[in-house]
Amino acid sequence: MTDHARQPEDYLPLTPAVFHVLLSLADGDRHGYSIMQSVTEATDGQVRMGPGTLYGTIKRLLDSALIVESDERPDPELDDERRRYYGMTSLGKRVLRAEVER
Amino acid sequence: MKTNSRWITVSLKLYHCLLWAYPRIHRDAYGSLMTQLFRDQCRDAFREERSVGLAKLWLRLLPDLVKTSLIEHVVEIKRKDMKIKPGSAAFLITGIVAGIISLSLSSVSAVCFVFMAISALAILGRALAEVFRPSNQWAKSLLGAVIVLVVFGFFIPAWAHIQPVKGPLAMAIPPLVGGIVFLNPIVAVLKGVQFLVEKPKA
Repeated sequence: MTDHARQPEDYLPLTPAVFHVLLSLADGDRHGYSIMQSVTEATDGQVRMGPGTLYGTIKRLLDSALIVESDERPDPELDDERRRYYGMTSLGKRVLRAEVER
Repeated sequence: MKTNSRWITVSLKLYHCLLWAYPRIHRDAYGSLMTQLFRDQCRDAFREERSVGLAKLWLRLLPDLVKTSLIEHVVEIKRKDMKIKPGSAAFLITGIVAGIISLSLSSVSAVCFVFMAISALAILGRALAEVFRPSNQWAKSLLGAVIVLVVFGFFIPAWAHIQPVKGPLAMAIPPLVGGIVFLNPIVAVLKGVQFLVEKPKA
């Protein structure tokens, strides 16, 4: 499905998990653990995502083309090669903007 | 430090086993990432509050695991476009409805007994219908079996308490109904094994 096939409004309302994950990726690409930490910090510990919720959400965001797996690795020397990084697509950014404005 | 690593290692091994609750396709794609994330969470939890932190992590994790594994199974069933066998579904619904009615009519012992018998036969019928389900739909069988167990897990003790009939039959009914209900997960597990055995041949 391409970005042109669906409008950002078609994805609304976002579930809290999807919203938090997209919000955490607004600053740039992150791996799963970093997304989880970012969500916990942003919500003052109110939302603590488990691995099941996080990767279930990531899977659905990938399927919807709101995020993509990123090849860029911010700091290869400090980083674990097994980690996968995720970044927002232009559609994902528009969907997040639409949700924030809603 | 050894205690530290031991608790984390035990937690990781346990979590690795629990990942089997997820559908195979989800496990293959995200299992290692989920384990890696859990490992990081374990280290954080242990650093902050030692074993209490790990216990708190598990308390948060288990409901998440149950919920998300069920969601992933439903997603997988939808993805495979598995069709519910009408006969199997009818048996299940009849059994559940008859079970509920039998509880509401607990004061009328004979009627209650009839409904209970219908429920037991319906659940038995559902298990038999599952025998003919293709083995690649074993996950759906298992999901149905879990529903049966959850629903009738509440009813069987109630039936035993009501005792709609007296005498030796009254003592025989709860284990009989229990056995019939447990046929469902047994069939589901057998279908799962059948699927795993058949798969390499495909």
